[in-house]
Amino acid sequence: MQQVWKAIEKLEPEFREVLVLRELEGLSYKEIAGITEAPLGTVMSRLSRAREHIRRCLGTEIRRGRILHKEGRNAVSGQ
Amino acid sequence: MLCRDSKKLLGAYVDNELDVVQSAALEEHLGDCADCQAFVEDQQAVKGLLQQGNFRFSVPAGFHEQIKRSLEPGPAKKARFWPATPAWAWKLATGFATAAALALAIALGVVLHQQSNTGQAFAQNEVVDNHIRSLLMNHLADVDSTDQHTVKPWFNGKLSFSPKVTDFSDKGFPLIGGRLDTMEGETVAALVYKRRQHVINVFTCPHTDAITPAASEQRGYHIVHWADGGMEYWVISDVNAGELQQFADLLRH
Repeated sequence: MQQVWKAIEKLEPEFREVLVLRELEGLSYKEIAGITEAPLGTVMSRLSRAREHIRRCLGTEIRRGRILHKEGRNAVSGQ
Repeated sequence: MLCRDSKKLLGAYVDNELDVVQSAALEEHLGDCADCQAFVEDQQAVKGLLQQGNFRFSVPAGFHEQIKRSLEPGPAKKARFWPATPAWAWKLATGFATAAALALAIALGVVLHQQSNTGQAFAQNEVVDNHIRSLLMNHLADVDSTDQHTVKPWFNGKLSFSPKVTDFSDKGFPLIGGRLDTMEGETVAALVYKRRQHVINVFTCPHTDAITPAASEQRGYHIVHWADGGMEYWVISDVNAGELQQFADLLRH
């Protein structure tokens, strides 16, 4: 999770903004567009790019589900 | 469909923001295009991580009252409970003068402040892992007793402090035992209670500064955290938030 925090911190404010509004506040694209006063297309594009950025920061960890497995390992085998 | 134009549409697709016609067209394309399919999977993976991770921020006690006060008509008042709301969050708020916007800006400030409280976030993550492990390994207590006069002395010699141990059976929260656990490399006391069939773990250790009580939720578990009187408490359970708060209040008094 530390890596995810770091990745989010590295985002430019306008990208972090849309990510937070969507993933934490659960707002619709339309609502986000209203609040940030940006066109809908811009919101869409920023959001997918923000996620792409996080994915890139985490490298191959996501694809192999390693971050998920790491937490699982902690809980199950106590390692 | 041109792949290079579809990235933003793919993001919207993952968020269920496309209409039926667009979704259908996109799905057809995804059937034929491995690159776009991979992109969708990445987007979904990141969403999954954000949702399951510790990104629900703790709300300090009095938070909602302070928002209400900040929104009262009058000269613009800066909310003072959060020392470092980033400048851009304030710009967002002053961009248009609606109550919702200010509340949101403050909430965003809270989130990003929480981000820099990484110590807190990791401790909370560890609390959840400890709780889950104790349940999965069926290792709840090393001293199995509902008697606080048996549990409390058990910790003597095992810890550099003596945790406060109280049984609350008469309030429906019986003590069922205790064990040692670790947090951030330090050995802490774990007190185990039950609320009907729900297990409640209470992790406690010395802590000099006071921490305002905060309730949060992670991976479906409810958590209450505070520090006062020289001790820090993390209380976690799958029992509902209301009852957990009731229990936390019992512990605090």
